[in-house]
Amino acid sequence: MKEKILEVDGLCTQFRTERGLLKAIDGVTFDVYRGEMLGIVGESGCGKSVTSQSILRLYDEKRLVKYSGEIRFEGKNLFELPMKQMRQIRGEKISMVFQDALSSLNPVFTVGNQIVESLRIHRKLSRKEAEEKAVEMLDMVGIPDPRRRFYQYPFELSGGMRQRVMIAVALACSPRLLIADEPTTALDVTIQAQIMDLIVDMNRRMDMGVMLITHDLAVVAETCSRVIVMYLGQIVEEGSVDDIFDNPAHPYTRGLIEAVPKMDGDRSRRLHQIDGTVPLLSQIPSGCRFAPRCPYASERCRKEMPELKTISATQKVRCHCVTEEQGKEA
Amino acid sequence: MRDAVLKTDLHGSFSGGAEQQVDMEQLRKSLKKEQRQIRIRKFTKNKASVFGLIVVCLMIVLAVGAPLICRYDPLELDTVNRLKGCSAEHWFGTDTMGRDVFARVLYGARISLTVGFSVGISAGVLGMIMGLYASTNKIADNILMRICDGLKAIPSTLLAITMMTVLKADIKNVIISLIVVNVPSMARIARSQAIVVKEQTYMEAMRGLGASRSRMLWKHMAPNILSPVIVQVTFVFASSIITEAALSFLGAGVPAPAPSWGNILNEGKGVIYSAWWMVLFPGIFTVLTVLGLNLLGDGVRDFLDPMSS
Repeated sequence: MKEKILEVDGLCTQFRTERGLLKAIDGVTFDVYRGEMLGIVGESGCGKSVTSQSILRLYDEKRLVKYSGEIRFEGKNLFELPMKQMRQIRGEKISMVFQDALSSLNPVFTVGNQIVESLRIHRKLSRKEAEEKAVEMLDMVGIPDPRRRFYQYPFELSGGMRQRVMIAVALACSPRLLIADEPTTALDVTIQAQIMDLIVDMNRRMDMGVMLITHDLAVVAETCSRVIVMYLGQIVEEGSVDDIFDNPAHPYTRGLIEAVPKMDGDRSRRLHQIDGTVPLLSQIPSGCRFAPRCPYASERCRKEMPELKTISATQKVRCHCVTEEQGKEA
Repeated sequence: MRDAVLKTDLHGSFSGGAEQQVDMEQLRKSLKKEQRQIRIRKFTKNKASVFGLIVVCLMIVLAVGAPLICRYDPLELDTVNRLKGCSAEHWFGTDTMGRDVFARVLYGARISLTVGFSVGISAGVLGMIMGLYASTNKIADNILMRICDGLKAIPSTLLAITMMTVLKADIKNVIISLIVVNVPSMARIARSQAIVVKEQTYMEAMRGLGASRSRMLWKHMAPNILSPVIVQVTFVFASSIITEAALSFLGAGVPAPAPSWGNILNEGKGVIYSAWWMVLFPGIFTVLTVLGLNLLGDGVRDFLDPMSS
């Protein structure tokens, strides 16, 4: 196995609200390896984005949030770093691409200048050097006529172009880890495919780890090597793409996969859906968090929280039913 | 071209020839020019703001060129020719002490424009600093905004008069008290805009790129709140001219012999039935300048908006 670049260990992110602390992320543990594409999937509100923002410590720690656990990157626990060093990691070592590219670009700067800005924060480059490098980046992310585009404002570009610019901004300093937070949600399908191709291409060429956060299982199946499924701030299943898609163990993962519309087969049937909705953070069930919506839930599921257990070399799952069955077989 | 770049090492520096740099420089110039032309076209489409611009420019020319245009000194007494009407000799007539009203009005424009300009710019800069700072720091926000509330609670002319009675009456103190009067509204505008900008995803994205707090504040937030502030500056410019005239008229502004528009009006009010020219001309100049500035302000808004191209 390749070297680990990021180790998230028992990450808890709690938001301070008027009703007290709310645990948005509860004990999330995973690793990201060099050069891999790791997919993180789940419904809205399951904590995918909070996880990624917590890694960069983007939330206001004085007022908004309380972190615990450890995030180790290059041998350092990010939570123990002073803000100044944290800033040096952001954008230089760990970069992030946001969902909506238009609102992620500063409207009063030309796109070229935004890349220059990202370079000048971390590198001691002259204005001219940075500009040349920015043009090079624009060209690398597949923007035609980069010299001309350099001087255009974000609103003058199409959605796909903007996302390409965002990727160029994020990759300008050659980070070791790229966090892509739903990078294709605001785009149409053709552009989506192009952007994903670009991310995969960059991932290979720069040998950086990519954390792809999405709710689009098709994208994950096509691009990622490993997948983490999250539900209500916890990891419910982790495994290789083959594990997750060919042999999903957790009822929630199965539900998600069945809910994807299929091109072939019987179309008269209604699409599968997972009944119920994600509970509020203030009303988290005491046992298995998925139990109220799970068709297989037993008395034990409602009372006792299952642990994330290894069921094969690459696969882990958080479900009583699966681990009980395995116990019987053995 | 693309293949060539793909082959170069990503971490390595770019080795573009001098030829390409010249190309880039030219491209920048032509694009900048193009954008400027679009903005100017947009500005000139609005006839009212063009009129405002012409009036304001004319005023500036008259004020700056006053010594060249006028044949008389604005302070020169000529007791023989008191209260003479308009003539080829004295275009706007003479006042109660025989001074040339035309010269006094033109020199008065110097005072008015100096006051308006200094107040507009200083209040704009101070208000922006206060507004930006308030948007990032809750304690500073509370202190600054409560002070602003307090200042806004007092009618602005009254506040300016009070300050002028405490301070010595001269042009410097007129400017200072008008800045104090105008900063609160400026800070409010800057702050409300800054709060909107602060929550935008691109500020979050900048943080994600490792930008420091001050860099985000001054380099990324400031330009985004600039255009409403600049528009407000033109309005403060205009309103300071009026307030300065009011202060001088009431005797609380620039002290008497100096040719401020308010002073001329004040001296003319006693003889309004016999010497209408003493009131009419400074009045027209004040109205025109203020009108011109307000019309210009609307045009500036269109000009500054990057989306307008």
